Amino acid sequence: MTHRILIVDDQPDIRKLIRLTLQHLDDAEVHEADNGVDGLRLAQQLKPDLMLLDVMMPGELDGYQVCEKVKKDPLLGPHTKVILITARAQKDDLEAGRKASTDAYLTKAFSPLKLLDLVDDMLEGRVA
Amino acid sequence: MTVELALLGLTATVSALAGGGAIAWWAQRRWARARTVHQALMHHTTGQDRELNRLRGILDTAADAIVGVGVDGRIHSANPAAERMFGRSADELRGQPLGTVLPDVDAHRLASVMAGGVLIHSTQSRIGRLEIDALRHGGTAFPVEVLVGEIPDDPEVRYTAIVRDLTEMQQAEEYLTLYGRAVDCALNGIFISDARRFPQPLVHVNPAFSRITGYAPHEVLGRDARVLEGPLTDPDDLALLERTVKRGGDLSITLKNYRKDGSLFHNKLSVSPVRDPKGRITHYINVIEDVSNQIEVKQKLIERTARLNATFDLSPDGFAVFDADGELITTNPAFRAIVGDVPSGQGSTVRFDAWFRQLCEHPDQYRTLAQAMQEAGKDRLVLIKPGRKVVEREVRRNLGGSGETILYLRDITHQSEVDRLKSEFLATAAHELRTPLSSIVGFTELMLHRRYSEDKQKDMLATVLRQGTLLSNLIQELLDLSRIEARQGKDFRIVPHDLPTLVQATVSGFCNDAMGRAVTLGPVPPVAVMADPEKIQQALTNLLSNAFKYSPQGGEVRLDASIETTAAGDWAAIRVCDQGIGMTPAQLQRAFERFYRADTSGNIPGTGLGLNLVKEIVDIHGGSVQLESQPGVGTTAILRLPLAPHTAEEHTPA
Repeated sequence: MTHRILIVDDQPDIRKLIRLTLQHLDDAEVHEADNGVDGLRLAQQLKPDLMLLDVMMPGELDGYQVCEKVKKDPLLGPHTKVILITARAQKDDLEAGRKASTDAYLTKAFSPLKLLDLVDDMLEGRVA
Repeated sequence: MTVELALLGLTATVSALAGGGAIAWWAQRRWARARTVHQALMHHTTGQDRELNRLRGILDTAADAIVGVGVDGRIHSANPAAERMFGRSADELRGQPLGTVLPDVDAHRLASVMAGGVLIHSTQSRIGRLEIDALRHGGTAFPVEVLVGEIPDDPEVRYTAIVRDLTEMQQAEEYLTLYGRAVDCALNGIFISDARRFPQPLVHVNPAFSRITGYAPHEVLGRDARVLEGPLTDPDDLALLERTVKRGGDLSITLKNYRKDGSLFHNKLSVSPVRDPKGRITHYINVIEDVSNQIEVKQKLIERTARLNATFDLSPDGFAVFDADGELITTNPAFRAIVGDVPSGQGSTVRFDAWFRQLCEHPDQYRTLAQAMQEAGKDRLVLIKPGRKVVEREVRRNLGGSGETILYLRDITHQSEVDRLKSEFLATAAHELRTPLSSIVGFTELMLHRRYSEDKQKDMLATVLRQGTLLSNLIQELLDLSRIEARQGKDFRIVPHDLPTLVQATVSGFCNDAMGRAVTLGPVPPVAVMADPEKIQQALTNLLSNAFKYSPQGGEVRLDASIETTAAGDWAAIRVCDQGIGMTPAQLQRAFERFYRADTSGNIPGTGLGLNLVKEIVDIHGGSVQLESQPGVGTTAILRLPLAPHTAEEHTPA
């Protein structure tokens, strides 16, 4: 079964890194957006199994806002898992993530192998 | 007849007194009255009964007791005053030994008193004087003075005795002694000067005077009060003193006087004139008090109050003071600058609280002055009126005073804004540092643990290198910025510097970009600018670097300069123009923000700190940097530096 994954990050090198990492998954269909607004639109359109969402992005919507909207969307919320990626991992940031109902939190600079494990777990959970 | 004889005796006594000079002042006065009696008697000898009656009247009304005494020492006659003094009627007294009322005085004693008395030359008569205790009916003793005259050739009345009750006089003397003692014991110095002589000499000083001034009585008696004056004694004060004293008025004045040892003291002097019965001023009573301590304390208090007031007025922190009843007494300028004028009629702290509450962003969370006072330390309020401000508040009861409440406000808007910016900067900086680090760590880990094609590996390594370089630049620029901020330009050596040389050094030191382009150098006027060459080269390098980065499709990067004259002075305007992608007005507006990148594609590397660094550098030079841009046309950066003053050029070492 093919898993649909959406990367939303304004940094091209980070998107490249994540995409390269996810290539090691079997059967993953990876999409990208470089800002929150496009990311949300793509999510509604693609209904991905998983979103990897950067918190700090320029533009109208940051990662928390996108996460909250996705999770509140009745068509997406129950289906789409969200991993927030951020350079900030202070208490306030974690709290904001919890409020936005994220499924997991990944702090930069992260290990791609650990990301791979995390994504694997989440998608398996989905299958199960 | 009895009366006549008594009168004769009296006349003799009175005549004796008249010739005898002053025995006692009151005796002289009695003499004046008695002389009338004597003259009347002369008339009587002409045999006129009317005159005799008049004389009897005078005897009857005399204030002193007058007693006729026979040769046997018994009382022969007594006037009404004698009846009153001794408490018996004239009839009762008549025939009694004189000793009954004047104990131990008998004929013998009277004879010896007369013998020891004063001889009055004019009448060749004698007058004797006694001071003894007399007895009232009932046995009460009282002091009297007795004047005795002799009538040698009268068969019935040998002596006349005029008896005066001295009780009052003795009391008066006693009072005088007490007053004298009081003057001696007084803490205030007292000196008495004689007003009838000039310069008015001191005729009496008390011990306190000596204690205060250091002068013993013998050192000042006979001298005048000028002995206390010195260089700092105010002539105006002395003039006022003289005027008042001449007018006969009372005056209290504080003079700068000098002690015997030359030391200054503040003398609170009260002068009061003493007049004789005719109203002429005879003496001045001067009371002095050393009020140096009070004056010093008062002076210190005045100075301290002035100092506190100045501090209060100059303080950047706001203060409001309420009295014990909660009435607003005063606010300082800083307080009014923070919250505006407190409306009048804010009578109590309750009304003040109500007014203050509505200035706050969260009136529901407002703590009253009373509540704030209960809590130790300061609380923080966000005000929305009259302007948005963050203030720190402390309320304290002034325990040393009279129960006043002091409200202290410190405007920490700027500080809290700086704090907010600082923590925001730190968070942003951390984010910016972690992003390249993520690439470096991530790609490296993947390459270590997974297999990739050679091309892929090269691409990944190039990314690691690029992000590593970015990270390094970021750190360098962060350090540059933080050093400039911390030192505020203290390590800048801004001196007159030749502009063409400066520009040439920058351009030649600038590495050609990847496309092999070089900077086109336009005209640069040969002037000197005020610059730290190293820092200005760094700023120009950043501008050139941006010009190349943001014209990836090619085009000329040109640098030239010109002179501009404005009201603020003469400037060298250095322009860096590119024909690159340019910026939208929105991007242009944020271009100098830290970490702001106009490019979000990731295709153009950068830290977002370069322009900010340029701005910091030229700000410290007193110059400016400005960007003009149109999307798709290109960007021009204009860096303005102050020209060196001409004098500076002339002063270059020969």
